[in-house]
Amino acid sequence: MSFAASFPGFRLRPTRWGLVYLAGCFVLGMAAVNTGNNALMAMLGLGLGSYVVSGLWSRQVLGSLEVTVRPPPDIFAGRPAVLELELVNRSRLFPAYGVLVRDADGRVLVREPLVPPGGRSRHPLQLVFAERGWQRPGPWRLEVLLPLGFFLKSKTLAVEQQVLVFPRLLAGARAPLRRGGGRRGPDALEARGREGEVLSLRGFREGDELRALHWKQTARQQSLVVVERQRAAERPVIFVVDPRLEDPDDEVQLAAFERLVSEVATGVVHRLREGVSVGLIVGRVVVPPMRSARRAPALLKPLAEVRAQPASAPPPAEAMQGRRVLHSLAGRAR
Amino acid sequence: MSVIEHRRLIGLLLLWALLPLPFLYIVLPPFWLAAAAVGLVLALRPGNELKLSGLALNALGLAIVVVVLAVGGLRISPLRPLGHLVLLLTAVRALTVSDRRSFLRALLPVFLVWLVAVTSSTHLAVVPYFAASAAVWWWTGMRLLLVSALGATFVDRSLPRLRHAAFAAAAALVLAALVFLVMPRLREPWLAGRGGASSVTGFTSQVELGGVGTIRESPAVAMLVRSVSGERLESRWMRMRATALERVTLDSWSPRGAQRVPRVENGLIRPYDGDWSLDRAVEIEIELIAPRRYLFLPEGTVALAVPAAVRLDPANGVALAERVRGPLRYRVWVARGKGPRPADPPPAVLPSFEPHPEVRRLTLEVVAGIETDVARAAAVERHLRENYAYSMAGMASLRSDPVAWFLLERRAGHCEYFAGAMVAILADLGIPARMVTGYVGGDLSRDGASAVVREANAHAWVEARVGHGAEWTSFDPTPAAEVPALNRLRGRDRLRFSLALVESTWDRYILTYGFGEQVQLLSALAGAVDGLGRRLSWTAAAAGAIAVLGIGALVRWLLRRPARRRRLRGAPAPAASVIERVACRLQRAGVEVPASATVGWIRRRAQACWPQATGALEALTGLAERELYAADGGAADRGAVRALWRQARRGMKRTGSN
Repeated sequence: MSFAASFPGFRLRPTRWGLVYLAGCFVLGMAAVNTGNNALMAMLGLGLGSYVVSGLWSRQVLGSLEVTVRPPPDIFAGRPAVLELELVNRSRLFPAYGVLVRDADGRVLVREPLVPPGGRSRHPLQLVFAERGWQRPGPWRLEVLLPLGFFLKSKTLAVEQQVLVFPRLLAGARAPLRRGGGRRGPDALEARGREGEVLSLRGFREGDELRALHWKQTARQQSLVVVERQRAAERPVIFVVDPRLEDPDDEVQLAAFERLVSEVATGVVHRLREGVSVGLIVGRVVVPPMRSARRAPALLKPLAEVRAQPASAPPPAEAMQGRRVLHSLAGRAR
Repeated sequence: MSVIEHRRLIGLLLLWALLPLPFLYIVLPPFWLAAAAVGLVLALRPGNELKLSGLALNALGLAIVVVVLAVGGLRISPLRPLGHLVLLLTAVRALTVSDRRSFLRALLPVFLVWLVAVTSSTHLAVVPYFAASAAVWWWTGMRLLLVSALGATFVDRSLPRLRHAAFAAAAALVLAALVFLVMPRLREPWLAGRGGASSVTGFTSQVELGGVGTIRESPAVAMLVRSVSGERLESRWMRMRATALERVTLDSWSPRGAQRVPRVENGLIRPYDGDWSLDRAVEIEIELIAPRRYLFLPEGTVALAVPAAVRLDPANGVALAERVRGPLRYRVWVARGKGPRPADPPPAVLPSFEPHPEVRRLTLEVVAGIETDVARAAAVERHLRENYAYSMAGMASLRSDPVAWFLLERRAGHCEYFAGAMVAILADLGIPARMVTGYVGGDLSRDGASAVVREANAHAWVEARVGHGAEWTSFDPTPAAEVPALNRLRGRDRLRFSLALVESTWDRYILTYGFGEQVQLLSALAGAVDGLGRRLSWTAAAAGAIAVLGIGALVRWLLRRPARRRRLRGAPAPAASVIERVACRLQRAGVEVPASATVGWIRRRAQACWPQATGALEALTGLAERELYAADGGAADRGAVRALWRQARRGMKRTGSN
């Protein structure tokens, strides 16, 4: 493997201590050569040997350290996300001492005293992603100063893995369901379970609602009779996002579109938390309704990936039956 | 690092730096004791912080200067009080360490103390001290940088690991050896004269018995001696003479040139004039392992047969006329009774030693009242034998007169000093004398008919022309107990040889390593390359290159092979590693193991394959699952895992054999 591939963005900066050490070696060398003192010569040898060994060691450590990132299941733009950063020392001989990982601003993200040969260490890493979509963590730099710190060696950390950042959730906002259509508000869903067809009549049990009493049968049988009904057939809420913009390059429109996506994402999350079955249509992408909050990533993924499209793009799909809640800048304009 | 840790570390480093000083006599005990006390206090009670004002520090420094002047004084030399001053100031600096900054300030003088201690040491013990010091300094540097890099939150005192620092220091020492070898020596080294390239007193490149420092200790075989008739070798036959050294130039001795063609009778060379009969002579075969210039003949040699052209020098030394490669075997006939003695006339001009006035006074004391030359020579021989000690340690500096240094100052030396001193004294008395070099004694075989003569048997003695005859008489002023003897080699001798070899190597190739040795090393390397080039064929070279490449590829493969093949010992999760091995075995047994196979899946398949290993596999799986999935799952006990794995393998074998 080439040097550039093993050491992307390699940087070598002599430290002050390293320069002092070199000057000391020079003085020692002058003294040794000038006096012919073999003990001084041995010390000079030790000094220069240490210089070489330290350089080889740190270079080997820098080349054999690998970084992998494990993202949490859901990352929302603008919110702190705790990733797990794993440092792996692939070297079978050299331990890695004093490893630092810095972000682009030079802040230290990880300080690792020792990664033994073949060992690994895990560190929580709190990051905030500004934008939704597929993001590559970093850029970070891996710094190695030890073992003897004559040079500060660093390279750019190539994190191959991308993480999917879901749209920003709007604080205190709930996606309005009536925008652009939709016949009923969310409150209407609270009445479920009392409007279905009659299943059977049975005796009253403690806990039954009084309004479930079948008064006629109660009067006729002289005992409390309750009517059992089918649960109301629930109609899912289908969020429809129309990504078409009149001018996809217009920053104002793009900002509004981002806001729109965030609103929908917020709505999706809230509805799922309320137990409402939610489906999603984003452009031509259709996600069937689902109720579990654990399935939220499946709904949020298209929202994270959606990009504004020109007005000539095909309209959103019409695939599902349900209460369609259309979200579009055009619809908003309408 | 806390203040306490800084203080403890500087205390320990100070103690470490002071360690050689009690053995060196370069610093008087009160001073190193005071510094050691400071180091001990810092190491044991680092919490007792001493804060001194600037005024107090200056007053303390002044007091130290006064104390040094008063106690050490300038009488000894300006350097010693200066050393004392530096030592005490270092102790004060260490005592006032209160933070990282003051620690770094104190580190430099402590390092200087260590530097002085090491550069002042000449004993072999400084080698392990130096090597250990390398590890200590590596550890210290790594510790300081680790704390610096990780900040104040870093508190782990077990880091860096000492073994890592020691490993790095060992690698640095290997490179240090290379630097030591190749760095140019522009000035004379520490102890030896003329770059350590030549002897100071005796053995010269003309005779080439080896350099000073190796003549006594080297166990290398110089020659093999065998009695042809099988009779037991006698001690007097084992004094093998090369030649006499009569020329003295500056500081080295050399023989007179060998140009005389010897007299040959019936194929035998007669080194001495006269008709000596071979009838009663004993025939001895000598195999010279590495012949150089001179052959070595027992005293009393009547004739010799040698398969090479030889020349005689005036002192009856037999020199090879041309260079002979490899061992040289020749036979000599030695008279059983009184044999021939050198009878050549002494040089017209005797070497002038211009002895030291004290040496001349000593000479007159030794021979006071003695009239004859024989008695005078015997008196000098006896005086040297009885009043001087044998020692291989140390050599005279080029700047000093070696004879005076040996006789008046050191009063100890090896055979060259004894012989050289006696020749100088006799020459001062007007008695013709010369140094003779050769080998004496050897390691006798069981039957006594053969002997091994080693470089350690090299010896120097004296021939003086005394008495009324024209012959040269042998004298050996070296104490008899130190003259190499003819006896059987014992285990303790071997041990002594080994220790002495280490010491002489240290003396020769470290302390006195200089420009001469560098030239020798280069020429030896050039010779080796030249010899290799002549011996090596293209086919062998190609085979060697292929072998090197193959080994390199193998090493690379071993280093990069998949983690699952790593040894159990180093695996972070040993039980899980064993399950991976089980998966490998399953694959070898023809079972397709998908990448997504779980531990349980592997266990079930393995149990199906090897029913007799069920129990062990069950236990291993439990351990592996605990390692991999349990919240508190650390590595399983390696011993238990090994035992279970052995048990499982036995079960697998049993299943296979069934």
